[in-house]
Amino acid sequence: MAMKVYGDGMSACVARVLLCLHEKETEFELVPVDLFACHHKLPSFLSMNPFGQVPVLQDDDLTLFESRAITAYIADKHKDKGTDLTRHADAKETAIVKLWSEVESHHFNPAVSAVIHQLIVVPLQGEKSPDAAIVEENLEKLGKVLDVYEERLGKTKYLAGDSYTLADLHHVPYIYYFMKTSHAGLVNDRPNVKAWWEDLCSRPAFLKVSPGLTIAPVTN
Amino acid sequence: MVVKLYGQVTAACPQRVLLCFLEKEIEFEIVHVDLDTLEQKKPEHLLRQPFGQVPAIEDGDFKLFESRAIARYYATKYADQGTNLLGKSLEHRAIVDQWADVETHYFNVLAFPIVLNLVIKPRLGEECDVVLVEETKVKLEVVLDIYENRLASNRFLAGDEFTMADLTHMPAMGHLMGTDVNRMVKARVNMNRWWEDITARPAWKKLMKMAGFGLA
Repeated sequence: MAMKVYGDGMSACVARVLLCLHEKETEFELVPVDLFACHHKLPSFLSMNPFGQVPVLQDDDLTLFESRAITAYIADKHKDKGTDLTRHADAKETAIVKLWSEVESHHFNPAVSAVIHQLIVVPLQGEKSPDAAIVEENLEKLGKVLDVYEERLGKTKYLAGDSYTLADLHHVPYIYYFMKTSHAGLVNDRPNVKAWWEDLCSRPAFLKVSPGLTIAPVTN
Repeated sequence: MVVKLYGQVTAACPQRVLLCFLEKEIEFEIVHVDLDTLEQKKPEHLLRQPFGQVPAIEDGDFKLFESRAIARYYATKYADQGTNLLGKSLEHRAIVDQWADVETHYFNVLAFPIVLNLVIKPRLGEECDVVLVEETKVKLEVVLDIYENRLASNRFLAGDEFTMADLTHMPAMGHLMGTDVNRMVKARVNMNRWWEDITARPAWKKLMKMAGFGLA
């Protein structure tokens, strides 16, 4: 039976999992969860993910949440097909992939998601305006993170080395949304980061997933 | 030659790696990086860790940073030695990863500002953001309710055995338990049981002794 992903393709965290499934050439079924109607907060969904967030993966008896745990599982289960997303044959290489995945989780994600939250999610909720101070503070943090990336990507083609891995993949959905804002210069003004992003968004797996990333930010 | 860990033994992220080393019975050497004098922001350390944080490791020619990546590397490298931290099957490993990621995305994001304001800032003579601490505690109560429910039907976060999912929480929890947040844990029967269980482990006691703390 094909794996089921519960979620909506417009969610960055769902897209993270879909990218991985396409890179690993793995069949799946996307089971829609109506986020606008808050179906991810209903008891039936909370029984799968008590934190009330998408995505959730079901693979036979296994129910899994946390998009990066899901991508790690898919990459491990299907390590012998599709793109080698974890460099599983070499423990030190695997550790470098994990290192840059942790950088995404701890340094990149908090800053970029705070900006996206203000410029995309808050306007959708309709009750208040984006908080300019939060945007400014997190753009500054994001700039410092991208400075580190600029230096790193001057030495390696991808974050963890010479091949595309989960360390790069995990960044893709939020960068895609970020590039739709008026702050895309943070990427475009850094030549190595820009070249890396242009590579990531030219991959076939991305071209299959990006049509689902439909929400647009307030241009602010 | 043993692995060198650059960091401060009282800081949470180095402790995550040290606890892994102790659970896995791996020999190590600590090279002190003094956080009170911001040594982690100086050029020499930035070469090891470009974000100016601890820990970083050097193991011969092999260098790594990000405590969770380091812990995972050594837990994998020494899979057959000491405590099995990563899970016994593909599916169990995924559940361990899931709860380890919960620590990153739900627990640490709340624990860190509380520890920063109640523990670190006073040490550095800086002012505590009381409003932020109170707001963060409210959010933490919601998250701890989910943990309480999980631990009602599981001895440890990923099931019947102690794994990386539990270990990765311990350093920040240790700091939180030294603040009035300990009331939140003690008020929850299963969280309290879990905390007492995991802090009774010999590796934790060794770590606390190394860090100069009394028994937790």
